[in-house]
Amino acid sequence: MFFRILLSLSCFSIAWSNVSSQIIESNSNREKMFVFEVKHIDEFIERFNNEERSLIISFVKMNYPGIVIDRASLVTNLFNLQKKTWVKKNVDSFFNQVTNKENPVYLDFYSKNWFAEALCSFKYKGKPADVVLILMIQQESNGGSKWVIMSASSRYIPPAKKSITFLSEDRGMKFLNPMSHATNFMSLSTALYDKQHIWDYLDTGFVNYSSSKSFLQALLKNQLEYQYVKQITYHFLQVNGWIFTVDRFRRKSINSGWLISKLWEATDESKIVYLDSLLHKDPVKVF
Amino acid sequence: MVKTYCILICIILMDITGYAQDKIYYKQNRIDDWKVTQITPDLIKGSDQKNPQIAYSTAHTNVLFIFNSLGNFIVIPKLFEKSVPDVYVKNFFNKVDNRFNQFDKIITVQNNIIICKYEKEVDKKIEYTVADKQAQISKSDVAVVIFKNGEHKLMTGVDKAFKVLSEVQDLYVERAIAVDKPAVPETKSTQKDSLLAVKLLERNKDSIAQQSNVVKATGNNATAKQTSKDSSGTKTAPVNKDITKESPPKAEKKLDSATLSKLQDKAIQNIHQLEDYIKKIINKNTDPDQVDRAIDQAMALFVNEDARIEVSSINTPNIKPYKMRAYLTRLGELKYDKVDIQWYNVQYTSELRKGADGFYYGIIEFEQKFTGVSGDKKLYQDLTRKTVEVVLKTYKRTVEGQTTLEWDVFLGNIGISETKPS
Repeated sequence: MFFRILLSLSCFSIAWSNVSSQIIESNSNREKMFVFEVKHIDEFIERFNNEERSLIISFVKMNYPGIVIDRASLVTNLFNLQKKTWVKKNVDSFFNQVTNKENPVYLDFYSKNWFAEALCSFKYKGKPADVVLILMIQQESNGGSKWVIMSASSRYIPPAKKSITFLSEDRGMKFLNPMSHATNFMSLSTALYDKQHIWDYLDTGFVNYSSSKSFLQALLKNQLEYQYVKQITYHFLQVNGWIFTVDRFRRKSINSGWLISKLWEATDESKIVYLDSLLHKDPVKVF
Repeated sequence: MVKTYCILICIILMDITGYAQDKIYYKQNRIDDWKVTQITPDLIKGSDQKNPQIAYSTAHTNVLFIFNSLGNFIVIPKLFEKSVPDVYVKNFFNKVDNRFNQFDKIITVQNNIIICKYEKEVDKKIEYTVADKQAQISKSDVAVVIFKNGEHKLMTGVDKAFKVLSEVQDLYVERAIAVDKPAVPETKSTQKDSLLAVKLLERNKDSIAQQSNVVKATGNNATAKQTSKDSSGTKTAPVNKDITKESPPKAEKKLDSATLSKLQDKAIQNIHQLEDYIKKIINKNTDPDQVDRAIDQAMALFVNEDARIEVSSINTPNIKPYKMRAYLTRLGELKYDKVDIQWYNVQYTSELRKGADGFYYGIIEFEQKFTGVSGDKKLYQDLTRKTVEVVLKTYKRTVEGQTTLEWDVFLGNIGISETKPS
């Protein structure tokens, strides 16, 4: 199924190329790349869910009424198609499950079962140090939402020798807005310097992790200085029986942007283990 | 950490009820009626008088001047230059009445203040009395009339009034604080009001002291919560007394698709407006004063002074966020004879998501080609991908006595990735 869909997608691309070569003028290629690229995780979700508001659907509908994009081709093009090592059986099985017409599977931005893993550049005692922050979307009673930091870990920050107790966990109303991911979590530069309100940005379970405590202690002691986010990976645990990760692929191709980079089968139990390992992640093993 | 703008911290008006609102005059002729509750180094915050749960805030750079219900005014840039004495600021925000408020004032475009008894407007003149002598002045010579009942009337546009009020602020303050005794109570009600003002001042002092203690005790002010009593003595739900934070607007107003679409268009307009200011900032023919003004105008498009722009390059893996104002100032040092900024036709507009504060957040992403010709005719071109955060905030609008909650669009952080030299 997967490879059949691939074929249909490439036909679609050829059709697109033919049309665009006739109609679109000098900047057509750049514009085409822009439209096809999955520019943000929001757009990934829009395409996965085949939402009408998705740029690619509305653009094609408006400019090329003869071409119809179906959910199958949209979902297919959300895989990193340049990866040679996909397990065909797994991909086909996942694909059939999510695109099942009677019982389709959709992603939910506001669900708890997806996480952003931000590899951040810091300076620890003046020297470069990578720190992994795990963030998730949290909904508030007013129907609004925000990103919260669930955990932090870094091999550069040694574990504390004594148990750490924080005197105050006063929480106020500062927050990372629900679109912060789209600007590479730039707001972290404000949040991680605002030590007076640091608790506002942390999940209540943040200090349950020893690595997070060490991170927080170093931050509050001004031993850590935030620089920028180097890389983001999203982890989706929302589809029953599956875990997949989404990474950004920057390349000149219609198959670019935020794409599925890994996919594997997972029971509910193994999802719990996976999440636990994610929250305690040692950056050395991963990056 | 809350900066120790002592005077600014002293102007808390939490829990004051029954006071008329302040009138906020913004750039671009916008006017709002709020009760100002706090001024921070970045923001002016306030609440709706009828529904104090509805909070407002705006970057102080958006605001030109404020009139309080006594008719006194404060020019915001002068406040931030710290050229307004503390006592005046404190009295202004706590609405402490004095004898100065028992007179009408005519402020002229020649930057004079005529303290008088206003009589009437006759054709193109205003008649007034000073020391029992009648006089008149041409309306075209008048910028603002301040009435002793606390009302005021702008006789010019907001921008012109702003210039005049900026000029006369020092003189006005000098006259106002020269009369340092509280107003002589003439009636029972004014006596009651004065006593109330004193009580409120005391209460505010306590509140300030309480909050200072919280800061000292925890080193983390944030959320001192307490059970409060309303004026009837009834216990109410715990109230967040943290004055450094914006209360979420309680009255949620759903955004329909037509409004959303209109606001998205407005966001794109704001981005184009920002481009126009940037063109002005980097054009070598723009004089330094105009550059400063363009930077201020550009900053007024942003949600606050904390908005940042991230700059990355294909030549280096490092990404550095700059505060927007610092970035614009740096741009002002680049000078081009000719600048052209061209958009590619398509842009990606995300869904708007409601934030924890009740406002809506979205992004617009697009590609842009910049072309600049320097003095030595060198051509500089680049193609950039920009991701602009947009924030939809509520504000209150009063038209012909009808007050409605409206939405306005501001820009937030901007991510830029240079795609390649063109």
